[in-house]
Amino acid sequence: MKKTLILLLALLLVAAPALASSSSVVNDAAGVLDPGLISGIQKLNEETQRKLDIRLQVITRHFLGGAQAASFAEETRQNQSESPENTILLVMVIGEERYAISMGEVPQALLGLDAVNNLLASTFRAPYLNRDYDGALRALISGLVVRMESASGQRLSSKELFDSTPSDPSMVPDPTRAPNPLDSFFREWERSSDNAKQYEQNTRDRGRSRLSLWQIALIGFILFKLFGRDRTTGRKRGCGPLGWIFGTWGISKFFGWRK
Amino acid sequence: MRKTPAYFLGLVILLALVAASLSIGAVRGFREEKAQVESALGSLDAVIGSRVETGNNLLTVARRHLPQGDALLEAVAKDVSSLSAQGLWHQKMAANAQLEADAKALLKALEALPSVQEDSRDLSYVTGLLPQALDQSAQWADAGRYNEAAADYNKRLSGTFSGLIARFLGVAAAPLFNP
Repeated sequence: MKKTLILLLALLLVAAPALASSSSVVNDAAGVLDPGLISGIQKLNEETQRKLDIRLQVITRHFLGGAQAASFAEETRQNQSESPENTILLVMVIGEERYAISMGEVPQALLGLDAVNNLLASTFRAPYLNRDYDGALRALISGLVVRMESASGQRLSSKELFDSTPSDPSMVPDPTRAPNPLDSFFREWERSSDNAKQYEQNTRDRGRSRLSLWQIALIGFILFKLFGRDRTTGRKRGCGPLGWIFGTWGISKFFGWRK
Repeated sequence: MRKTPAYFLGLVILLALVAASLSIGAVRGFREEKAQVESALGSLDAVIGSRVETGNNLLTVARRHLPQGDALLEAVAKDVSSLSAQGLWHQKMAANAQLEADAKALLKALEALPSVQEDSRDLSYVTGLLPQALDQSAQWADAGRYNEAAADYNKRLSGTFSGLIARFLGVAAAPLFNP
């Protein structure tokens, strides 16, 4: 039983990085891409990582809330990619009809920034503006693969996955496909949500309960009963009950225990 | 009789100590509360950012279908600009409330446009995602919660004995933002 559990745990540990990396290759928050295309890009990414040490990443969003697509792509690649210097990140902002690509040093050295920008302009732009998002991405990826093969001299077998028929360009983005449609609406959904929770907490935790006058009087009286009389003789020691009550009140004010 | 000066001296010291502890406690307690109200204001400021984003996204869609200078478009743009300004809290809170009305009017106008009706993507934004985001951001940036917290604090500051002492010693009331 123990050996079985250890074996299962080991399998999970080995599989976890693979699972994690495949799920972050394409983040289709806007719900516009064909699942077959997403799967093809994931397979191609595995091959480019293995053969060329280049990682592919695609993000689709509805809006960026006024942020520039290029700076969003650059920041995302730097902060959220597993290895920013090896990554090619494409951001497609569907609702704003904008897109941007950000490349790390390794793909830049292999492919050239100008060449990739030309590819975007010649193969990606027209179908993208025509709302054929699958077609645009397919064309760009095919172009990138050809360029990678010619620059590196290596053959990438996964490119056959991008030779299938184009999808319907009139496809309406399906916000319901994303687990949380608003995730692709706000620039950083999680941060916005956390700020909102913080605000709610700050406005809820107000006027924390403190000692009332009656409670202070009671505490003062109890203290008098405990310490204000000599146990053996029963005679008053120090101040009377009023003194103890005033003393307790003063201390509570000093330490801010009073309402 | 000889004990009388010492007795009075003791009484004066006692009263001074009580007054000092009263004052220190009042100021400390209310300063802490004021800091909490101020941190609520700070986190409201962070949340206002989501209203700015919502406004910007609405303007992006609206500018595809409405001409420059359209009254509703200009109204929402003005509200977004006020919300993005640094400081000027009263202006921000007024803009936050106004954005709700202006954005809803703009969405209604967009939905009625033939160009939006013919554009399935923008129609889905105008009837689905944009109103949803507007409601979500309004819930998040509800200035009423801050106002309640500030009003509570102000009530205690002016309505309790220790509050009066704290005010006398310089603790100020929290600002309220009533549109």
